[in-house]
Amino acid sequence: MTYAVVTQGLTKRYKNTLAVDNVNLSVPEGCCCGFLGKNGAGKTTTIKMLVGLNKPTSGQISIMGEKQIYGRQNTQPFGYLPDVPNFYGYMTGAEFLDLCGKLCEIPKAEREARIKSLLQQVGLEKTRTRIAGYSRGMKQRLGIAQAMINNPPVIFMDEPISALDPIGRRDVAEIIRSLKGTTVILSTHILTDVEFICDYVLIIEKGKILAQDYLSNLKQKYASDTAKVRFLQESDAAAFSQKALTAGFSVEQINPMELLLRTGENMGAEDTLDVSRAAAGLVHSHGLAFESLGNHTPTLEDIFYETIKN
Amino acid sequence: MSNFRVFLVKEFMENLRTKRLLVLACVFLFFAMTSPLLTRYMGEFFAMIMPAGDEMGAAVIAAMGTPTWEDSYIQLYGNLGQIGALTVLLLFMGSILREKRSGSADLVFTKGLGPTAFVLAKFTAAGALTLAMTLVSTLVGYIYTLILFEYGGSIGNVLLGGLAFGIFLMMMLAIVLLCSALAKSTAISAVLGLAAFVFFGFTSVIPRIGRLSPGNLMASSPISLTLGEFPDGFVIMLIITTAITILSLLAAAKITAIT
Repeated sequence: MTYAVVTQGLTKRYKNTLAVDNVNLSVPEGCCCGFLGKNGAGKTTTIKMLVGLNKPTSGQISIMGEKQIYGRQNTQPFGYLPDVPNFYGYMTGAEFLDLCGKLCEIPKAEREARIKSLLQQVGLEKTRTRIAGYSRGMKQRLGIAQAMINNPPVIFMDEPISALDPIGRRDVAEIIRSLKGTTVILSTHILTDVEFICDYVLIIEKGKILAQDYLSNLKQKYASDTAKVRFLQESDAAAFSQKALTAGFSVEQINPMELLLRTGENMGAEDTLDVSRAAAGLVHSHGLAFESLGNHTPTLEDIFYETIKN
Repeated sequence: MSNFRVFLVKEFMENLRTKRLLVLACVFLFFAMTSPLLTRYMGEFFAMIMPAGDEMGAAVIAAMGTPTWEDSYIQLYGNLGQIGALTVLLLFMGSILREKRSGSADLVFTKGLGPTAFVLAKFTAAGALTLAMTLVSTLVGYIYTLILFEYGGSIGNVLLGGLAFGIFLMMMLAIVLLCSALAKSTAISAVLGLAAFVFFGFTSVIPRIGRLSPGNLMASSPISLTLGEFPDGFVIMLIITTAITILSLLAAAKITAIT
């Protein structure tokens, strides 16, 4: 597997605050990576270091195999969309993209064609007004277009959809989903958006990376140690809950008839292999009547909470 | 270097579209036109509004004497040195801060534009417009003086005086950009710029060393040059002014680079 973005021991310290703590991340090429974390977890600081806007205290960054050195112009292009993109309000969208294209030293003919196609892609081809008159969603779409102006293999997006209304969010999410072949790293704390857009996930908390893997792998991993049991009677659910707790499992009640069973903190590694089988054993041995029993497929929200909690 | 040129064009466009150039032109041309007029007709205006038999007023008018073409330039630089310089300060005080705070600077920095090119482009565009407006204003002042006093001095000396004043404004611009890079708010940036302006005004009146202060370029040196006199210590003053300009720009670029 080739990686588009790799960091080793990436650290950022502000006086007494450790904002990013020894981050080692590897983002596979061509994936759309959701960079998750609570507010203040270190997402923006990490992204700003990756794009060269913030000097790391220590550590190394490599983008598409090329080492990034702070303060030196990157030869390997990447796109960047800040959390609240602010453009020059006195320009039109096309003029701003032209400025970006010129700064990226794209030849005139190629630049003009690219601007036309990008404006079309983000749905701004018919907009003639100056950027000062744009809505927030339009600005975000222009932000995506400017990040793509030099056709970069990697695009970093800091909270691209968090501040948009539902329609704006859907539009921008669709545009991001359409970026096939480009590695996209987008930070957000809106988990449903990540589930919709991304196939790879990084979870950061207090400046440390807690999890990084393909979303499908994470779901599989978390599914294997969680079973969901739905009973026909509340009394059976209560009895099951008591027996499971006694056996050392962790129990979460979804509703009076439905429970989630997880391996307990003091249980051995062999117990985590198949919680569903263990749940079936408990149900059978105590003669409880259930409606359904199986591995619980977690949502990204479940995975996020579980990771942060652990 | 190509990025500098690209951003320089953007800066010219910004100064034009945000009406900074218009404001600058209005202020400078207003004083260029009104200063010779005021000088020429101030006495007559006072005499006109003075009540008949006011001996005190008549004495004041007599003390003012007959205005000359030299007085016209003293009035011009008196106005431009204060209001003109303050206008420049107010127009450009937030240039860097605004872009850094809004995040628009981040967008251009991630496209290969360096902080030095960023600051230099801002300075070059603002400086070129300010210098051009200064020279146009002195030229307009010369024409008005010529019409009203039938003599306006040597055109070469007049432009030399304007150039000296323009160099002072360029230094103030560099300091304003430094303040804009340093400050956390536009108000603080304005206060810092104003403090620098007042500082140079004061240093120019310090005995002995005051003659070398860049503050002299605000009024006294341009007037001397216009009248065909070479100010004492002028070359050293220019060297000091240029050094302050360059150091301010380098410091502004350095601060802009540090996040």
